[in-house]
Amino acid sequence: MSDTQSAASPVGSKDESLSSAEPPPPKPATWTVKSPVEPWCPPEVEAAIAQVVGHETSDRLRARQTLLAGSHGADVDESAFSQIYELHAGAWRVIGAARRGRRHAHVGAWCEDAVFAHLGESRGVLVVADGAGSAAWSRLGSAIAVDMVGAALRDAPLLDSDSMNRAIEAAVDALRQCATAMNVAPRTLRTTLLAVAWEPSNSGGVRLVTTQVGDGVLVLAHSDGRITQPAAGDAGEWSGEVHCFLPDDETMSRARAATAVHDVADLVAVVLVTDGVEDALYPFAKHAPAVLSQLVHGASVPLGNLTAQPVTPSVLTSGSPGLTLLEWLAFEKRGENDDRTLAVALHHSASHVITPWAPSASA
Amino acid sequence: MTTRRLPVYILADVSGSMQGTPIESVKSGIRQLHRDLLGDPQAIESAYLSIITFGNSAQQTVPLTEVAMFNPPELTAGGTTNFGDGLRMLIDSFDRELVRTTADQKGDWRPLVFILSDGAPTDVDWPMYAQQLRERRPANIIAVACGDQADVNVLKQVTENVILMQEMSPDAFRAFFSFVSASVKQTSQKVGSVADGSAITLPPPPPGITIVP
Repeated sequence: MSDTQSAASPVGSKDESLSSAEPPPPKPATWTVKSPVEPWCPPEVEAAIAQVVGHETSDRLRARQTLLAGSHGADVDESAFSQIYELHAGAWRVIGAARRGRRHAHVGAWCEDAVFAHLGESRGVLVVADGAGSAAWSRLGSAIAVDMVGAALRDAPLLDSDSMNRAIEAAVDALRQCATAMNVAPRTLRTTLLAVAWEPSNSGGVRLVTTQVGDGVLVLAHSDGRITQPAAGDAGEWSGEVHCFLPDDETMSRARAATAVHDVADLVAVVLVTDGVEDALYPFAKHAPAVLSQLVHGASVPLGNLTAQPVTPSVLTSGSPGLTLLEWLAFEKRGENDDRTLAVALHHSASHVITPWAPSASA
Repeated sequence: MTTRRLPVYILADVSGSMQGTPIESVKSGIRQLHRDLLGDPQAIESAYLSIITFGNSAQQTVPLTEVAMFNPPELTAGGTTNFGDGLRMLIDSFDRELVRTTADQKGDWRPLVFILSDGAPTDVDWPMYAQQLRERRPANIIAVACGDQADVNVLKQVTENVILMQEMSPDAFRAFFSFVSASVKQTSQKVGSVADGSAITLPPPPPGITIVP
């Protein structure tokens, strides 16, 4: 093939048409918003899943589908096909939102993130999950995972490592069985998972059990302003590469290593985010005080190195905290167009303890 | 650098045997790739293109450049096939241009590399660089063997992802660059790590291009 003849090619001598006939480059494309093309869960898939997960989860998946499909009616903007939670009980308030990212909106795909929230008089549960973009049914994987883990933590007699690990194990088994029932490989349901459950501890503080499989971040905010991160996210040297998802073989060893029980005397807030938020505000633990401050006191100036951010009121005083959080998640950063989920549990003391954020105090 | 980039390197053989239709088709293909990516807002925000060529020696004709600023280069074919220098230049470009994740900064997406070659190397150093690339796995590398003189076994020593383009016609190159464009568009999403063998999720190759097992 190679030779040592001439060093230069007579450009255009043989194939001039290849270069001269082509139009000039087009103007760069801009983002569009489209409704999802495919059903969130086709009837035959729903029937297959229902055999595995039982009536309760099956009913909630159907409700989730109805909510997602009809939540914003014909008014399709970027925030449509998203999910919100707002709960208030005892000393805690829980607000969660999973916002469809620009990439998915542009191509008419569903949000692959999912969130579960429960707040009883004494126990709270938050679970978020991010379906792997490379997995065909990850929107179902994340929805099944948060629902099963969330319900198991809600109903567990005790909050300890065993109850957390059993919850994850049940979700992994269910995902594998769903894959079999759907006649697809388990990896097509791949999802990350972050979970926390809490209740008053005997010492007067808060007892929490936390775990994580995959990327995303869970942080605890303390009354003295400290932010602690119970587990490191699963990330490699390149973006977007996760070593283990549910329901991979390694899931339980990863989950057991990450599961931890904490007794925290000065807990003010718990925040869980998927990588759509984490990557734009990385490292998240460093940005968490400013994020919490914006959530509690409202946002008027873009955080960190965000390109743009909507002005939003406090999620605590807003008449629609979930929608306010959904709007907060519309911040812009170049290249960061993934689905975004943030779920936060705020203690009633948060509005006093968390101080308003000024740009100079941000990283 | 705060934007996470999807670095895309095209390592093109510009040895003497690529003269005429093949080199013109490569140039046309790069222009086509550029136009395609300008039609995808995510690619505009995150894909960065670089062109490295190898003949008697290698040169980085276009350093890693965002799609909106990219100018398709003039390429001329001639000389030997110094494949080793091309691989060395690729590794050197990784070291100079890429950002890896640290505790304080999110890194780039794993680079996507397309190697085009229509023959066998004429240098002796290429196995050393091929081994480095294969062992360190710093990128998702797809090598395309162009025409019936290309040495598939050489390319297999760089990456397991080798595809064969039987004909070196303009249509075949056009189909190949459409495949490159589709690969870029679907790459910047969450994937499994390389260790589990699932890092690369490429679209199906177009007609006329086959995957070498």
